[in-house]
Amino acid sequence: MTIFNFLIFNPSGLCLYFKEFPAATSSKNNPDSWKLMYGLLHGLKGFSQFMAPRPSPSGRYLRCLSTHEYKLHCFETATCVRFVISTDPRTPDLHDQLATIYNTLYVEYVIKNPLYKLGDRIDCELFVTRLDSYLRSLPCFASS
Amino acid sequence: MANFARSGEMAFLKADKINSEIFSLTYGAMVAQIMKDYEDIEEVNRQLDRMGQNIGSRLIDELFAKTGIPVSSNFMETAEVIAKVGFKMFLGITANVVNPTPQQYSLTFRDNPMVDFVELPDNCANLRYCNLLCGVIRGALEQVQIKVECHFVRDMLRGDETNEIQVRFLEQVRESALDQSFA
Amino acid sequence: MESRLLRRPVGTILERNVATKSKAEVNLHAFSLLFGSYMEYTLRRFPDQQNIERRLDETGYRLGPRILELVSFRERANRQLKIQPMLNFISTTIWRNLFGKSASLLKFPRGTWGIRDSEPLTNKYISPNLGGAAFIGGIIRGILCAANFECTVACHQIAPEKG
Repeated sequence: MTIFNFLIFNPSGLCLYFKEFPAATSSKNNPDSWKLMYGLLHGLKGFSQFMAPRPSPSGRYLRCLSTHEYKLHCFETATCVRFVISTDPRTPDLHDQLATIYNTLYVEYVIKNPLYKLGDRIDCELFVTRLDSYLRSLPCFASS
Repeated sequence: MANFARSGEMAFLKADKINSEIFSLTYGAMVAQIMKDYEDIEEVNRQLDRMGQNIGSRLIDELFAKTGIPVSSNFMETAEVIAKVGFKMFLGITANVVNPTPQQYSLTFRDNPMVDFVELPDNCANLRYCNLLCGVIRGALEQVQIKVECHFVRDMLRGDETNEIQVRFLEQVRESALDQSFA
Repeated sequence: MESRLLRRPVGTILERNVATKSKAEVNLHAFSLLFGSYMEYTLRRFPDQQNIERRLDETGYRLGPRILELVSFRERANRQLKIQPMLNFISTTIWRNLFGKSASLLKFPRGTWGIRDSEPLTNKYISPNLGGAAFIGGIIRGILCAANFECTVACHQIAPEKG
């Protein structure tokens, strides 16, 4: 099992953070891929909302998108910030892990940093290093 | 409704806390410094509001992350969340929701940890000392796609018997047109 | 003016008992967010990192005399005339009143002292590189000046000290 890449989008669709791991053979490190990815997530959100048999009490619909080659795990916050991680398709659901990243890393080290302006690309050192070690500590990373 | 109050209390219990006096003294020193920077009282009110907005847009993430309460983009429901969760979780007080309608509601509260030791001198009669709070509410709701207008209608520092913040609904911002293409 | 005084409702500042410390507490995050936003305001107005420390120091300085009066009154403390007991008073009694813990007092050569707090309030959720501790430095300077001690206060981070 492997992690390919990790992204954070703000509500207006800007990619705030991108991290690619060596396992990804075709790089997605360019603004065009991010835009495509955001468009997909956004469309899927509308679609899953449309297909839902009853409205979701949490307002969340999309959890993951699975294909033969990869699996996208998504987590959307109340403030419409989206956390996305792309892994091997056999990886179990990482929704909770993304929520942990939001609760303990994004809120603590990005939101609370007075120098960080909402909507800017994230370059807070503490966040970047803690995120990296958190992702590396996940079981799905270790077995890659 | 009861579980909003509970979420707020739990979040407040679990949080690291400080004595409210150092908080209010610090806020007081900040207001005094801003008043020195801008002699115009109206401008001070605006700056406090802007500082509050900055706080609000950050605080909302903290609120959702720590309480896990469900997302609501219903304007009337936000009143309870602000009064019972927001005020409790951050300031340790609760506010009452008064006259909620789909267009506006008021939040009233008497205890206010921001004003320990504060008395407005006569030359600051127009200063809205706690204007920061209005900014916080506006900034926080903006992050959940609700635009509001917010101001103090009663202020204990100016001799009223309670504090009252009026929140008026302006519009609901759609994330984008894409959302509607399926609806 | 008179009408304003007459209208003043119950429960206002004049009726509050200052002699006992208020038990009310607020979330530390509320403080951090407020402090962070004030830093943002300061940076917006004076976009120079050097300035921000000076400004935070100045803001803290305003608090010094008030805190000294309040704590001395509550603790029925005598006026301290010597520097060592004064600093001791600051690092224990005042620190406990403000932050709920005491700090350690260090003595350096040539009349220099240090107050060490391993986790200052201003740095708990805010990156210490921004010099938020200058605010606490300012409080100390304010207290010392109010007590008629001439001093300069500097904040150091590596081994976080203020003295």
